[in-house]
Amino acid sequence: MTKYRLLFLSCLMALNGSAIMAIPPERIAVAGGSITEIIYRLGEQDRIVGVDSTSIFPEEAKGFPSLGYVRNIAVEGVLSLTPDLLLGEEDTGPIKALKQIASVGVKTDIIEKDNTLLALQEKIMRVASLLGVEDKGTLLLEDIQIDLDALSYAKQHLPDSAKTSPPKVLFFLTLENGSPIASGTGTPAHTVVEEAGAINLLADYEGWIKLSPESALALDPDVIIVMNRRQDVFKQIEDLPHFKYMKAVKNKAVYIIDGIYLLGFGPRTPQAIVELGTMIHKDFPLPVGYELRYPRDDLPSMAEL
Amino acid sequence: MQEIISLHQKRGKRQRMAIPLTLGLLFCSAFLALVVGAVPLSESDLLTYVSHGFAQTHSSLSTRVLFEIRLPRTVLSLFVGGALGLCGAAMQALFRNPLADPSLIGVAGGGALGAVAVIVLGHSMFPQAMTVFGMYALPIGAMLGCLGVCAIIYRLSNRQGQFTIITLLLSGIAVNAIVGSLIGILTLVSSDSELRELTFWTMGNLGGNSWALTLPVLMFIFISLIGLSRLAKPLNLYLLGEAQAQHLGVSVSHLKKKVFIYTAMAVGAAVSISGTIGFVGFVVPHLVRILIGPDHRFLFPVSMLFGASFLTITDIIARIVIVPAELPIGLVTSALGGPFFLFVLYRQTGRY
Repeated sequence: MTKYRLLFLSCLMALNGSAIMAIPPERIAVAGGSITEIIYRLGEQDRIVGVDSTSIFPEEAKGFPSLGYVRNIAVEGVLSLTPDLLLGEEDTGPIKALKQIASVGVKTDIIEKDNTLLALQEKIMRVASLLGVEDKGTLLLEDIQIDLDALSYAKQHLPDSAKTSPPKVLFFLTLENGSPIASGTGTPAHTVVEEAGAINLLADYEGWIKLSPESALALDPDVIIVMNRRQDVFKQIEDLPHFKYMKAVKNKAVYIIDGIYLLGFGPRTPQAIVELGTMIHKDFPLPVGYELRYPRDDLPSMAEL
Repeated sequence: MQEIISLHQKRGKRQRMAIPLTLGLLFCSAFLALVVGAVPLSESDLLTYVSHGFAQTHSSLSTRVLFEIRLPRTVLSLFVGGALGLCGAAMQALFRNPLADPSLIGVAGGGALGAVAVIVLGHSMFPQAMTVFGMYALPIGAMLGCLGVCAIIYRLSNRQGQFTIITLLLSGIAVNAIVGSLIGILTLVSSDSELRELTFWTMGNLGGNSWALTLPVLMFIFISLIGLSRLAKPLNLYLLGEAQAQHLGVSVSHLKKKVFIYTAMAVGAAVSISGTIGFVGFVVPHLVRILIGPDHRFLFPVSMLFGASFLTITDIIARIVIVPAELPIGLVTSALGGPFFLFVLYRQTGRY
């Protein structure tokens, strides 16, 4: 049946190129974890026919047929799901595969990646309008606004000491092999650290940086954030000679956080930034009645161990 | 003496049988490659298409998939596999060493360097060129890398008209090492996304290539394959030794240069579009030599045909194993070919 529906759609497209915009897609192949998350939040997950391997939230999304890694999707694999829309983030690729998919008549829509909160809101509205559910998109934006308001409230009401000399943070992707990979500007980690009212110590460098152990030590951050690759991160950090003398480690200001939750730039990211703020700052004032609405991974902080 | 004669007879029979057999295998694998895939093809569509004398436009999804996606991919896998098989055999003849493969003359390393340079530096250093060349930028970069590195190695080993194998080998190893470190430097300065892209490039992938990308590559490969096949007889004589071949009327230095240039061109073209696909060029000629002996008049065509079928079959496996996703083909060639090769090797060494 679906094949005939697709045929019908493609005929329509050939007849009337502009009219196709009016018909919201019913079979969507998604390449990009945050887009999958947004579609779920819009309650339109029944239209998804396949997702890439970065779509791991919510848990049920893993049940869809996998298109493979977002940068390496297969042409025929996507076509075999007979989607009427391939919706992807900027890193969807390879580009020649995308071109081929489009040349066969499948509509492709690639959303540019821009790690700012404003772009997140635009992304949500874009997905909502592509799916023809603008009203649900507006509701989702309102929901996110709660976190954004809390964030700006907190930043206004931070103690003066934190405002004048914000905590200095290093954000590590991984600590493997003793040479940590840390975030510079242009990374989602940089945005969230700055949005949480802190200073990214590597703001002068671009992208993810393979830091030499000695320069990591020399930077001496107040707070260390690590993505939760491994559970024994704290032990690892205490064992590494270039880490154990850092201020952050001595004060036990080392935190693990879920990468998709914080860096995915999906609907949960604003809340994740608020939560990051409570980790970085000893006192992160939140508006009365604000609570964390999305379940968080219950990862201990170093101080609690 | 008796043993040699019986070996000769056995080989003669196998040699005669090998070409039709591999040709049959080639057709089977090509047919399979066209009918098997993630998108199910409806036979009725194909039948109407054929019965209308190929005049119908590609309107339905299945004919489009067949003619715009699967056919170029199959043709590409046949040509790339054939090129790798034949060039591997030619390299092993040139070096008179079964351990040789095309990467020794810098093709793979050069291609990787070119591709990595385009991926990492392309958009930041030559944004205009990248928009002009579009999807051709990466293949062109890889091709230029191949040709550049091959030219350096050629120049180093071709001084005063002396094209000696030992300098070729040594300069190949040294230049490959330098290229490796340059790739390492580029990898170091690459961003997270570029790193991912180049990782996948080095695993090889035949997918996503339209006719526009495929045709130039096919042309290059075709020319070099024709050129190489004509060298089978002189290479047979060359196997006796350089001096002997010279006495028998073979212009040895010309022969060596031709093998070098044709191989660089064919494998360079293949690498430029499909990334580095290891193993095929090394093992296919070995396998064929074990089965039918070292006579290049048979070894060359059979290696080519078998390489083509082998790569096509592995490509089928790569694209259907984890549908709707796809495996990089380089992983499949090694994972499947390695054990198969060990098995044949084990059987053979057991017999003699």
